[in-house]
Amino acid sequence: MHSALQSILAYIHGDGLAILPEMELLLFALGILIFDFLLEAKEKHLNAWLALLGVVASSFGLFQQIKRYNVERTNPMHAFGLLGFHNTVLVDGFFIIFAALFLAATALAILLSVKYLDLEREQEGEYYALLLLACIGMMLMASGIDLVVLFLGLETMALSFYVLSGYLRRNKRSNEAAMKYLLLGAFSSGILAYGFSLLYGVSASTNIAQVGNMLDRRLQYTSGHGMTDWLVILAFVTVSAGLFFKIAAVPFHQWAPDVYEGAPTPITAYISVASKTASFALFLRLMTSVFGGSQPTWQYAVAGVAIASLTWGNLAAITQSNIKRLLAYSSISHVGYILLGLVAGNETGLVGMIYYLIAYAFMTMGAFAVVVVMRQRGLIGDELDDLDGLYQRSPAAALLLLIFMLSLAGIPPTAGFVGKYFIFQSLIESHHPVLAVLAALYIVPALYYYFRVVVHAWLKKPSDAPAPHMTSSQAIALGATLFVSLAAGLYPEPFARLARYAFGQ
Amino acid sequence: MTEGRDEALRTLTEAWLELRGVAPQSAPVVVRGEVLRAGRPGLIDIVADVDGRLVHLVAGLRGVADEQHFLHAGEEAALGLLDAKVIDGLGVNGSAWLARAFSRISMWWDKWIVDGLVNFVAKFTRFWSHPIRMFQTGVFSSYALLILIGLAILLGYYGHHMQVLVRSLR
Amino acid sequence: MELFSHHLLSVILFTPLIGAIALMFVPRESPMLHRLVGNLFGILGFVVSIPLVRFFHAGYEGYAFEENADWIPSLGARYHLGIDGISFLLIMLTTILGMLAILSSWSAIQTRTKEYYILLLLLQTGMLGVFMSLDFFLFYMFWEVMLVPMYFLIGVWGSERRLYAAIKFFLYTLAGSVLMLLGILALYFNYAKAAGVQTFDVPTLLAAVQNPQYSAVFTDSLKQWLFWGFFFAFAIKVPMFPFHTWLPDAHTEAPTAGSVILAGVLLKMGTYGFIRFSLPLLPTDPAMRARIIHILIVLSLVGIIYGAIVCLMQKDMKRLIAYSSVSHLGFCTLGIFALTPQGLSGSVLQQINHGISTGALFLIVGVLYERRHTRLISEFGGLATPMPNYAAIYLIVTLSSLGMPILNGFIGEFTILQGAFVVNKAWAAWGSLGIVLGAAYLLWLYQRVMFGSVTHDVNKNLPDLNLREYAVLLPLVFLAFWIGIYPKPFFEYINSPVEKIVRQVNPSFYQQASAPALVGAQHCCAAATEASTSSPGSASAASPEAK
Repeated sequence: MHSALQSILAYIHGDGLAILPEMELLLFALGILIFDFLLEAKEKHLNAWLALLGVVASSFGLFQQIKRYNVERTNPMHAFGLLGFHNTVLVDGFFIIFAALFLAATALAILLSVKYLDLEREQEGEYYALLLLACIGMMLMASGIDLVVLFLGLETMALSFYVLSGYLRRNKRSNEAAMKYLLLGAFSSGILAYGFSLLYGVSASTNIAQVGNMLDRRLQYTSGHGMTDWLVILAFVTVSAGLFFKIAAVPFHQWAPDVYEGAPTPITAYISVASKTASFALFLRLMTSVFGGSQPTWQYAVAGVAIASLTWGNLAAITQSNIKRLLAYSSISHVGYILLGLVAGNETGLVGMIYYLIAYAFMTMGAFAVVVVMRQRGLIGDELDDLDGLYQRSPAAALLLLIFMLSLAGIPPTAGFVGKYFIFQSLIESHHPVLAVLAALYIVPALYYYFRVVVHAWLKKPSDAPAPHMTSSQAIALGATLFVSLAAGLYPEPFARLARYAFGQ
Repeated sequence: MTEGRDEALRTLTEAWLELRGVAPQSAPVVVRGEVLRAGRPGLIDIVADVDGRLVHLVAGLRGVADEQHFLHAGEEAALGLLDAKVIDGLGVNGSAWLARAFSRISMWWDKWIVDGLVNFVAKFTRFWSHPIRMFQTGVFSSYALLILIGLAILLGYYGHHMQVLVRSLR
Repeated sequence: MELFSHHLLSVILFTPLIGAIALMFVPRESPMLHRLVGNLFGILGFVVSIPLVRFFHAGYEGYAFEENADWIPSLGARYHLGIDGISFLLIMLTTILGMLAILSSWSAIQTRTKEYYILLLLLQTGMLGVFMSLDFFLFYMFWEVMLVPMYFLIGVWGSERRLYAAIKFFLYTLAGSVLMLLGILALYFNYAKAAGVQTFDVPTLLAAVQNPQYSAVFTDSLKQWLFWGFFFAFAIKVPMFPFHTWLPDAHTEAPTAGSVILAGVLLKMGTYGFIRFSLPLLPTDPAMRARIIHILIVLSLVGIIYGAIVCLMQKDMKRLIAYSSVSHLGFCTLGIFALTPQGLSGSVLQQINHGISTGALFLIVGVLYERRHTRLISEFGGLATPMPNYAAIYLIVTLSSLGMPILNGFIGEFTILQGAFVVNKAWAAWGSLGIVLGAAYLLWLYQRVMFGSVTHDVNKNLPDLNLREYAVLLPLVFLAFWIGIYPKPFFEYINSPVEKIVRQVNPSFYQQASAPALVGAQHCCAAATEASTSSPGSASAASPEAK
């Protein structure tokens, strides 16, 4: 017994430190599933508190990792981070920032879900367990350096989301969303798996650093530089297609409007924020480690996808009348901006991507949070007309909505503006003036549809819908997102430092 | 007072017409306008409607019977006509008319061409929203098709790129 | 007290913001309290700017009252404020017009008063920030920030087409602003390439652009791109032809105070931007520079005449005054791009004048709108009979706007034309046509509205100005006379920064003329002053070599 405890503790401080947050989340997820049996119907919301406790515990685990990482950084042997879990997981600054982001998003999603599920009469423990399991998947995606672990993480997250998006069993749209997400997700995960298998075939290893080395060598031996090898091309195209699907970039984005509209709104928020961020983390890891050598060649493909996303997202959003679909298209356009940071490829670009993702996470969460608040007894609240006269019915919600819309549009002094600033700066520094001009000009139509939301909330006469009432947990979530949206715009220094920390500075 | 003045002017006009041998039989004389000459007290320009024709005469207020005065008034009438019709009319009023015409043209230009361009850009952008939304058919197999098309485009692009590079190195 | 003396600019900048935050805590149901608090902070905002008058010494080289604190070290953006003579005058204009605009809304705005005053105060902070900031990041932030309150001011309290006008204003101005952002970033990046330091500091960057040491990086071609990048934001703001079509809609649909601030201050941000940022970016190559100047002068002249011509047949009073703004600011840009000291100083003074006279014109129209709720000229006529005092003030404002000697407009227009005449007589000739047309539409408007007998019975008993309206209009009338009769103190503030700018941007001006050209600016003003005080007839074009 004593030795069992000792060996567990030894494992936690040793090889297992790298997956400590994931393990804690797993424990709490399973605990929720068991605990749920003991609860009565009207006590089910206690699962939410257990889930929050799990998030808090996981962040303690993350904190331990940070402490160890900061110590190890000075050691040149381990300068790039903590390896663990049989050398398949790497804990470095990159992972730490993303993990913190995932945990924050999970906490916000939990806070927003409590009342929402009560109103939908679907308050069950599995929901929170699935949220935590999705978070585990995301963390593995951000920390994995092995193709298999990355794929496992991706699938864990995806499967949780397939179920969560269909969670409103009696709602046809929710079922439809789940079906589409599942089928298309399986399709593109298949493509991704094919790409991974090609990468394995090239290098006889699933460690992405080794795969990257083999690819670089292969590209050197074949004529010229850049992707002149069919195998590399196929691998790159299939891997990126699979990942473009997850981040909802054009032309792999079409699941997003339907799934965002049908899924329960807290899940929409969570998918939009956390799934996208995790997929970006995975994408960044792969692009820098595996395909780093052929950046000059693949940047054109990424630029094309980025511009297509910007165009499609902005144009389609202009005439939307459903807020969730509008936000879905708007997040497609944000993906375009983030990908442009990758096209730039320089330090400002990569730091800018992380900054943008942090800002994007909080402002999108905040915007969806307002939509969650709109959900009242007898009112679904996700159409633009439901917002009419919000300034009178709930001035706080209307003001928050305004600030989030301004942040999404990129108007100073909000976080969204500073994120866009970094992207423009990186494009100018890497001599892509045309892309910079295009990206800048797309702010104009984007503002139009964000302000359609504002017009309904502030400039129209109130409808006779019930006044939205904010619960305390929703208020906490809104407060946190508001704080980051404004603080990262008025005083971006600490957030910029966080973004740099992700790259080891 | 006003009626008396009108009456007086009509009498003056009819007297003048009689002097000239023109008798307005069909329609009564209607005085259209009258302007008191500033520099020459006692003179008055009258514009009258006689049988559908506009007649301009200069009359002395002391009375038409004062023929000598009236003859002077006749000469002045010619100069007054020049002053009133050409310099004042064509030059000053003409440039005012020209300015107003330019103004109407500029207003039209501003509203329909310059502003129209701005509104056109807005309408054009909004226009494209509809076809793009058509792509979202709701049938997920068309979504899968578009994914495959996207894959094909990427493969085709890099395939072409590779061909070009390989050919250039041969 | 230490706060006051060392951070005067910050105090001026944030007083309206503090007022806005204070208003948030006032309960929604007491409009009178909103009015009181709003006006209190409007007056307070003006009061805290009075020490600037006392302690800002004209003729000071460089920037006064500088505040420079760390803000975003990793980007190189600092909280850097500072003023010179030009921005000093614009800041005073902002605080005065802001106070008067807030006061004029007392009875005009009855609904949602809390939000109204909050937005006006936020707008005030944004505008002050633009004029004060010496850091490009900060400048851009304030530039964009004041778009949102203006949008709401038009969109909530405006007239029938307010939604269209508001979003048009926002999107049009935003399009220019994002191009300016790219220009700023390009400037930042190239300076980092040249000097190895990443900074957004305005004096540093602008000096580097003109520094021959860095001419390998800041080539003429790059400077041209940067110029055009910045151009759109300022040209849309001014507004220059053909980027002006947002202005008539925005002005007509905005509430009175919104129009006053829009015309009085917001438009000056564009000309201020041209003076401060665009002039140093002009290429040094004479052919390139001549081409750019030519384009800008042509656009200015077209703006002057086109704006004036379109005014002639307008049916709506506010639309007429809006187009007259296009025309008047065409004079200002003509003065700027003539690149002479007279032109530039006349332009700055004329910007202040335009703020005063057009602000007053909009207040005048607002008086009528409050009484009759219509702006159509045809609805009025012969109002001098029921409202004689109003007629008197209206006449003074009209004459001020069209450039009658003794009033402020004359000094500005005269000096600008003088500055343009020196460079190219044809420009001055076309400009004078604009003055004639200006007189035409303004006097015709006045005649149709005020002279003659009362045409509509409903106008027979319109009340004359009440005390509050006097309080709003009389300060502007007073300023109009002051600048018209004794503009010397104003020119003293302007001359030093103008001379510095012309020296840097157009040094050949000082080399070609004889030595007295240095004092030409003061002499031109002395001549103009004498001309205005002696008699209108002797207002001949005094050349810079006079005396």
